[in-house]
Amino acid sequence: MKPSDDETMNEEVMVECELDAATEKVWRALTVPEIVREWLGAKSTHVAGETSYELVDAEPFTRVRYAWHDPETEPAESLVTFEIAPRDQKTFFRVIHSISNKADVPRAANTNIPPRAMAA
Amino acid sequence: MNETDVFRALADPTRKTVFERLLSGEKNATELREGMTISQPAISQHIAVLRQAGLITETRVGRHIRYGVDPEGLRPVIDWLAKYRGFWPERIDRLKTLLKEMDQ
Repeated sequence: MKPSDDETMNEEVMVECELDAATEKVWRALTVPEIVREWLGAKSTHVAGETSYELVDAEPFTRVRYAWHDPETEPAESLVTFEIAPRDQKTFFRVIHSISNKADVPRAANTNIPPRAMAA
Repeated sequence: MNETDVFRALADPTRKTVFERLLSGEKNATELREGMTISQPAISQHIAVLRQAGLITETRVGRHIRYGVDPEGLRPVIDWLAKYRGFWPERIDRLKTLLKEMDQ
């Protein structure tokens, strides 16, 4: 039996919650740099000595990944994964911030959500 | 020592297991290997990586070597986790507020 990765020592922070907003809106809050900056306080451009991120992966209305750079921590580089999914009129939201910046973080169970056509 | 080594060292499942075994007290290489399908040279390699990362210490008693946890080794992990455990709930609160403002 292979224990799941999150049963032992965890070098990651995970927070889940429900957001009272449509998934399309949450998606914008994660991908439009001006909006991201407003709530997250991080810039999408690298400035020496400041916390910044680079959008490295995006699956529309499902998942967004940032390469995270925080010069105040060791290590400075880490990986932030946001997963979102519609839940009634609201949005399930999960953020996983992982010290390991390998991109092979296991996919979460919400990948079996059927794709749907989204109006822009 | 490059502190990033700590994370690289613990990214390997075998090394993570070895490290976790030491959390319950000092052990020698044979005790660390117990129940694992891994050779003595391989476990020595893993131990060397953990030592280089500053995660474990070794004590020589005659011909015997005992391994133990270096309490300072995990400091970068602890500091990192402390920062971001506080960071995300606070940022999500800001996101919630912003989402309310976005449409209305």
